[in-house]
Amino acid sequence: MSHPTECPELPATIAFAWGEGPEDHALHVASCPACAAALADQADVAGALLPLVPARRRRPVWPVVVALAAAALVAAAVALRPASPPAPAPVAEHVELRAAAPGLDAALDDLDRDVRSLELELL
Amino acid sequence: MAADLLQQRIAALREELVRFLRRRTHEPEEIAQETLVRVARAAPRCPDEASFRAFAFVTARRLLIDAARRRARRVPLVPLEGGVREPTSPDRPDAELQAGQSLALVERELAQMKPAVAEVFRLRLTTDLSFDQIARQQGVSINTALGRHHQATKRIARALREAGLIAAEDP
Repeated sequence: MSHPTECPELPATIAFAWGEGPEDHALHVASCPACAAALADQADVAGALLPLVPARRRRPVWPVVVALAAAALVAAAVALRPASPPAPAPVAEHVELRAAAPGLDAALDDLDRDVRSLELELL
Repeated sequence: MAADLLQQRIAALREELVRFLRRRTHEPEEIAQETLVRVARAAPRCPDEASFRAFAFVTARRLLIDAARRRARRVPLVPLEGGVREPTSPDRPDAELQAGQSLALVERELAQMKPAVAEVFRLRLTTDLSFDQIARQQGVSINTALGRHHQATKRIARALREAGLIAAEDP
């Protein structure tokens, strides 16, 4: 396809092509040979390549946040305990939490136990 | 636009749209239907048949990209680097070969681009990052990221057309 002189609206056209711009930009694209050609390129290349490549989906962040928060709470509980056996290495705790995933229940049970024992000691 | 003129224009376009889409997607009827629904809803103020037709094809191309993105989430996937891992279409034995050719050509083209330009293209194609997120990742304005993507896509489109790997004809 030959490409006419480029248009200052091209960035908006690329955003529009990928659903990241206003839909009414279609009117401009329909009347602008440069933007129409750019959209044609986007559509043809996306149609040819998107089904072929692996989508590296970003994993949800919340399980990591919950696991880290749980690990931090456990570490804090252990650090605050006045006379307790040597605290487990934080790395091991983290690995254990990760190993418990996706069933986070086991990790949360550990956390509950630690918090309960801390409460008893404080009383 | 008068409703009957709109209907008349839409009916006249249907077959041409389906033919155009058949060369570009596995779901031409569905996308044609969706295109016409959207065009009818938008009822653009087009002074003549040519501008109405242009509007309809813009809508169709926009929907083609959406369809390709949906399809990318469903089909067996192959790596962008390292060739084809799985058949992309078991009922079309040539599809795997064509997929391998396309990916190899894209890799060659990307290797010849400035790294920042190639990176925008890769990120857009293989992640769910928005252009805004890609721009922030690269530390540039969103218009720069969009411009880089346009630059890369234009070059790759030309190479794929020259190799006969995507449709050359245009409405």
